[in-house]
Amino acid sequence: MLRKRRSDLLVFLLLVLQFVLFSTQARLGSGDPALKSWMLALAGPALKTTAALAAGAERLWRSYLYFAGLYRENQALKRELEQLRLESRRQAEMLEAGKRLAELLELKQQLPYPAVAARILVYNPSLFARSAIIDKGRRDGIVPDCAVLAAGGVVGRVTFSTKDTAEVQLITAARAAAGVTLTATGTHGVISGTGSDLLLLNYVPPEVNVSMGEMVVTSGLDGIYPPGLVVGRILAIKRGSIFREIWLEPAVELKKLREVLVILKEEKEPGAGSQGLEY
Amino acid sequence: MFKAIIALLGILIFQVLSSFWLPSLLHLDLALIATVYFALRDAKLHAALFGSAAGLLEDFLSGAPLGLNGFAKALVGYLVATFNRRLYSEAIASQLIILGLSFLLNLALVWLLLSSVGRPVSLNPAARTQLMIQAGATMLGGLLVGLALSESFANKVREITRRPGQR
Repeated sequence: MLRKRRSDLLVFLLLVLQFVLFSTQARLGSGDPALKSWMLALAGPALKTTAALAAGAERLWRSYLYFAGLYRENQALKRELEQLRLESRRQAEMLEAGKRLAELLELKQQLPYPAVAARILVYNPSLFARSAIIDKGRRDGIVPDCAVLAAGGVVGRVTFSTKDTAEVQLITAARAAAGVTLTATGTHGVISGTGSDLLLLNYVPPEVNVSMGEMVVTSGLDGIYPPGLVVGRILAIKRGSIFREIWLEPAVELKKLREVLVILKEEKEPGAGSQGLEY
Repeated sequence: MFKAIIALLGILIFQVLSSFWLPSLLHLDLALIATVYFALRDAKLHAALFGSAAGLLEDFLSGAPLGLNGFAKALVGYLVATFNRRLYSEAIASQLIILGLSFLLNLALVWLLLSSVGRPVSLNPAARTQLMIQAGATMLGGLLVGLALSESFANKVREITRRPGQR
């Protein structure tokens, strides 16, 4: 009986501890930098190693699959053919990767801001926190509120960075938002993430002419995303009492992203608050 | 302890590998599934401790405030461990009910915690669809984990792997 009570008491203390931790973290916005920094610094190398191992295993698995079906063929011909095919496949993969990187480079050259390319280590699509961890951090000039882009358009913003890694809040995250402009009319609005794969465009009055498929770009008014970056395309329009409910499909297919471009900004003075919405 | 560390490492590796290969798999709340099956087989304190660690790992990987899922999963683990003898059997319906209730409880706790600090998440139609997908994926994934851990499955594996002479 005493043991059972002690166990219940320990669980209660554990819950109180977690609640206090959560309250402190929630109050601090992006969380306690020291604690998060410590955790990310601790897990960063493990994440990078696992991602590198995954990439290696993927290559090995593809090679294995490729070889498996060809056992019955003539060995000499098979080897020759195989080498040529592997070479071709490798080149095709390189071409694909090159194309992706060329698109990023083209975007980087077009941007009038300094930017750095980064690789996504972990992607998280949960309703309450859509985010990703990238393999570049403060060492490369990445600080909170840096805008993150891909060749197609806006990806999100940096919420937290350590020396070698950074956390990106995706534009589809439930607490994410950005100032936008409708390309056809120049009307301003605010898009917000919904925690799903779609975005919601708010504050567009009913008298403004909005058409399906219309492109929506950043307005630059939020102080995070530079103006003119593609955010998405209008997918559905619903009538509301004061404003309309406009649903957007993001321009970038976030779950297929491998590389991103981070727009660098001057680091804020310690203690300066974030201008964007936080989780 | 060893099993818990392996399970936590499994969650971390699952998250990284799924990000690479099959992002759709990330709809499955593996931390919740692991917490529920720990709670069904272990003491209340162990279940709460495991749920707490798995939730913290999830918070860290997802960018949520630390302690959000830590609190929710610790409580889910504790409650499932408390009622497991009354609810659990190897029947699919029983497992579906436990997984479904755990998912709902976890969701409600996370939503309440976020609302309590003035950050409620709007449950608009798109978010509801997303939740349905997550619930479905988690329950299906949980059933598969339950099947793999079940005694009847273990017996079948033993039977298949037994040498012909031993049968």
